[in-house]
Parts: sequence; C-alpha cells; structure tokens
Amino acid sequence: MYTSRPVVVLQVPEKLDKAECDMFQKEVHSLLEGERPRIVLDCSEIKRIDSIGVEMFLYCMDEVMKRDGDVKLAALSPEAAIILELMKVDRLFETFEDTDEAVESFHAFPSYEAPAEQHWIEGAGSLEAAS
Amino acid sequence: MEVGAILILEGEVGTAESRVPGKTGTHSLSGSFLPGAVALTEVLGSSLLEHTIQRFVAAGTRTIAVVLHKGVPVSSIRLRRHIAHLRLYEADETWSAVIPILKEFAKDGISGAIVMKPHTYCEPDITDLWDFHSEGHRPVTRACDAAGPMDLWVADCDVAGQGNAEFLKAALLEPDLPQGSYFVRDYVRRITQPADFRQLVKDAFHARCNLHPIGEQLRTGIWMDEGAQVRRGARIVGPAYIGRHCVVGECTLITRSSNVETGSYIDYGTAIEDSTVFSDTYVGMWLDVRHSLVSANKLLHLQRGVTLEISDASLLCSNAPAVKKAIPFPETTNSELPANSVRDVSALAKSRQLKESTGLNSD
Repeated sequence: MYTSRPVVVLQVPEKLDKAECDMFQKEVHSLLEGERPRIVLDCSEIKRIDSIGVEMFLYCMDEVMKRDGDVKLAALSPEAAIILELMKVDRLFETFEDTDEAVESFHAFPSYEAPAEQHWIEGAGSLEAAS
Repeated sequence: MEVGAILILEGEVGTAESRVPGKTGTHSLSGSFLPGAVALTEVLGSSLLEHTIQRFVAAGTRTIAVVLHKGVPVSSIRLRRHIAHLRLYEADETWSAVIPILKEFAKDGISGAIVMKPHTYCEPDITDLWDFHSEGHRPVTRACDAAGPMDLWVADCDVAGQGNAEFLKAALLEPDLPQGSYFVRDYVRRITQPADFRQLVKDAFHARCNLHPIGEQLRTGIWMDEGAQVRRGARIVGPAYIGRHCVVGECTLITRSSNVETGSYIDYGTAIEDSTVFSDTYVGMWLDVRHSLVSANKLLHLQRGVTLEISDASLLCSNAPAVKKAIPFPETTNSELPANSVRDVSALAKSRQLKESTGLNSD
C-alpha cells in the first residue's frame, strides 16, 4: 500500500552566514522527529551562499538520510547552483525549478514501492526481461 | 625604411572599449572582472601587450612606444623581454599623445608607425601592411577584418612632422572604415568580454593562431613556466599551461585546455576543467572549476553566463596567506618598469625634451 506522507517546504534564509545557518539547522531538526521526513528547501530567496551554506545543506541531507527520508532543493538561483557545482555537491541533491515541482516529485509513484511485474524467460544462454 | 609602433593602453583599469556593436553586455569587461587593464592581463605567460610587442620585434620593429592612460599604473606593466625597445609615455587622453610621438618618430628618421590598441590580439603581416600603406599614398591606412574596422592603423610620421597634425588626427579618429582599408586575413581575436580570453587560449592550444605559451613544453601539449610546482598525485592532461611560480597541489587535476597563470595556487584535490585561472588567484581545496574564468575572488561561469563574487576565502581569493608563503616572487625574474621611465606627453608637446629621457632598464 502506498501512503502519502506530508512534504514540508522550508524557506532558506537569504543570507546563509553562521548565525542564520545555526538557526535554520534547529528548525530542520524540529522536523526530523517523524519517520522518513520529506523536505523541500526553497532556495528562491538566497542571495549569498558560501561553504557554510553548503555545509548546512549537507547537514540537512545527512540528518534526513539517517531517517530514510529525502531532501530536495527548489528554485536555486544560478549563483547558488554554481557554488554547489564548484563544491561538487550538485550531484547529491535533486533540484527543481520551483517548490511545486519539488513537492510533486515526492508524490510520484516510487518505483521501489511497486516493482513492475516481470517474467524472466530463460533463453539460449541469456536472460531477458519480458514486458 | 624604418617603421615604428605605437601601442595605446587606454580606458580604466579592468575595462576595454569596444567599437564592435553588440559585443558589450552583461559579461563585458566593464564589470571589472579583471584586476588590471585588458592588454596587461596575462594569457599563457605574457600579457597581450607583451605578445604584441613580441610580434613587432620579430617583424624587425626597433622603436616601440607604449602610451599609458594615467589611470593605468606603470607598475602593472610587467614585461619579461624586449624592454630595451620600449619608450613609455603617459597621457590623460591617450589619443592626444599619438601625434607628438609621430613627430618624434619623424625626427628620429622613422618613416611610419603602426598604431594599435593591444586589447585586440591579431597577427597581421606587418611588412605586407606597410607595403599596402605605402602603395596607397595615404597618410593613414586603417585595418579591418570580416567583423569590421580594427583598432589598427598605419600612419606616416612625415605628415605629422610637416605640421598636418590635425589632418592626421582626424584620419586616425575616423569612426567609419575609409576606402582603401587593409583587410586582415590572419587571426584576429577582439577581447571585448572575458570569454574572449578563453577562446584565445583554446585557439592557441589548438594552433589556430601563432600565440605560443611561454615556458617549456614538458610533454605534448603541456607547458610549464619557470618556478611552477606540481605536487605529488596531481594530474595534468594536455593541452594545459601552468604559469610562473604556480603551485598545483596534491591530487589536483588540470585538464581540457585549462591555463593557470602566474602566481596562482590550486589547492588539494581541486579539478580545473576547461577553465582559465588568472594571475595571483588562490583556488581552494576539493573544488570543481568547470567552464569558468577565475580571477581573485571572482568566478565567471561561461555556460551559465553568471559572474560570482565569492567572499569565502577558503574557496577563492587573491593573495591568500598560503600563496604568499608558498610563492616567492623574485624581483629578478619580473622586469617591472621603473616609475621614472615614463614620459609625460604634455611635456613632450611643450618642451620637446624627450630625447634625453630614454633611460629604460633592459633585461
């Protein structure tokens, strides 16, 4: 059975300095009590991001993953996207144009929950999947 | 018949004036992406100015005048060779300096001068250009290419010496392309935006032009200049250029036509791919610099078309303590022109005492 759990959208502050990141991490931590948290970080207001901000994203990812959840990024500015690419973390996150798209992505039917029915036919020395 | 050269460095620091329509925009150099004037920015070990001087010297030009706008500090001209050939002038309005210099050339028995702004890299056949000008019997010949008029002229010194200064000045400043212009069929790269530097580097690596990296070619397509250090575990995949006194840290990767210019430091584990790192830039640890130009704490991503100014010194910065510590800049290898070698063009026009002040240090 597929159950729909809530997706939480969090607005990331425009300036990700040490103080703001600490506050934001606390906010994220309060959302981690449930099972398999699903979080969308709305990055539309980010004006400046550096290694502290990226570490904050990684912290969120780490904590959410520990609880078998997922965190996705939405509305990344080109500047923020370049910083993520520069620090080689762009491939760790799924990113979306806007928050709606990111939330929708959580509701898409996950393939691992309903595997496609497959019949395996043993052929002459090879295995192939029948559709 | 002797031909001189006058090279004009104009505009504010970090800017380039362009007459090419549609070439200025969000990523123009006027955003002061570069720390210095365009013609003084290093490309593969030498500034555009020095590459241009080198071409003139190779063509047999013995007298080269460089006119500096007063906003461009003399100390920013760092030449490695050819200093003996230079005469340096400073002027508020660089164009006003050209006529007095042409007159001075005429007195020294020089028949003509090639006047150019070295923020365009070009490789015209100088002998052919002069022959074309001589055959046309015009006081000024302007060069052009398929993209339009270039900032390259040939002028008669005799005309200036005979008191036709205003006529000559008008001919030089003519914005439209006059009839009888010289068409340059050789390589031309106008540097109007930072991306043009990248294209010039790629063209040089792929032998599409005659710009050669300074230094030794250690393996096919890999050039390394004096004092460059490549630490253990670093990989350099050619074509690539590592400039003077650069440090390429452990486990780094430099690849896909990348160039790292003088005094830069690429720290541990970082990959530089299809990118240019301009002089005196520190690039932090474990970064992935792709399709970009990096100058001090600024990064221009060419594919996304975005320039970033990064305040986090652990990522990018200029003159980082690590750089200062690791890289000694021996004065002997860096021939800066002494400040007192500059001539004031206004003084030239008034007192005509310039002949005495030719005392430039030579390499």
